[in-house]
Amino acid sequence: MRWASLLRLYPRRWRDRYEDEMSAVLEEGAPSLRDGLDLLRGAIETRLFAASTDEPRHALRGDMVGEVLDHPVPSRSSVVAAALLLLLPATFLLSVTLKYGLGHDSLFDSLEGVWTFRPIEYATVLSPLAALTLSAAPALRATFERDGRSVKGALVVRAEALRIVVAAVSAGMLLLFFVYFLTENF
Amino acid sequence: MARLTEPLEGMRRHSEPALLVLVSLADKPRHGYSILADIERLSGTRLGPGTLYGAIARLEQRGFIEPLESSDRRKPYRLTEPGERALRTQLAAMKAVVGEGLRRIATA
Repeated sequence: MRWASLLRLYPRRWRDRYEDEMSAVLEEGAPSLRDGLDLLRGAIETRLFAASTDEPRHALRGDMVGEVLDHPVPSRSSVVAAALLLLLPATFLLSVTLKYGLGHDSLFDSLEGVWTFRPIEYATVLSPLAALTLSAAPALRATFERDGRSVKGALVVRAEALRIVVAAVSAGMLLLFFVYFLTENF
Repeated sequence: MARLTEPLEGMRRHSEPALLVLVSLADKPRHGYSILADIERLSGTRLGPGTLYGAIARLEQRGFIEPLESSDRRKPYRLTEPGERALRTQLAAMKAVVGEGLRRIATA
């Protein structure tokens, strides 16, 4: 296998900066399976925790600066994927609102077979949870430090407006489904 | 005295590879493959390319190393002044721990 092809898994900005160099390193050595797995882990880590080459857009005060430098703004791909995941539950909620709130039943009824198909039903409920995780997790960084007998903690959040909106909409949908579940079952 | 991990704090699993990269660049600029080979020679540790560039990116971000102009794809990196200070601090802290450890073993 050509391990260099794994470099395509890295975010675009990372590749613009480091792909040539990393390809040269792979060509000079004799990359093993271990190197391939290392590249895979590096790509996942870079995407999840956004170890991008961006300069930090904001600087916070004092001790937080180090954390911010180590936690640049995440790339957009995960929040775009999260937004796409919301299309299914958004369509469901829209059709339910139109039917039971405004009396327009055509959308809900035309999709009734879809909503009662069990896998779609599960996907509709679980999509906002997945979207919340995808949009919020890369923007958060929790740090803990033991200082004698006490433990100091900090939560650093670095997110663009789009990420915050998608996370908020996902959380709102989850809340709606939870309230619906409670009112239907208790 | 500086805490053992203070200069590279926040790098988590990248702190050890980052230290090895700083040590490798301490005497002269090196490019990626040369850093890997040098680290393997001096420590017996064989870093993967993903780990190496994870460390390089973080060190560059902190201004501890910088790339040199090159017409080649193999871009060399050199230690900056803040990088040299961080390395000195880190090594001094490690030296104190090593010295104390050896003293305790000798007197045990």
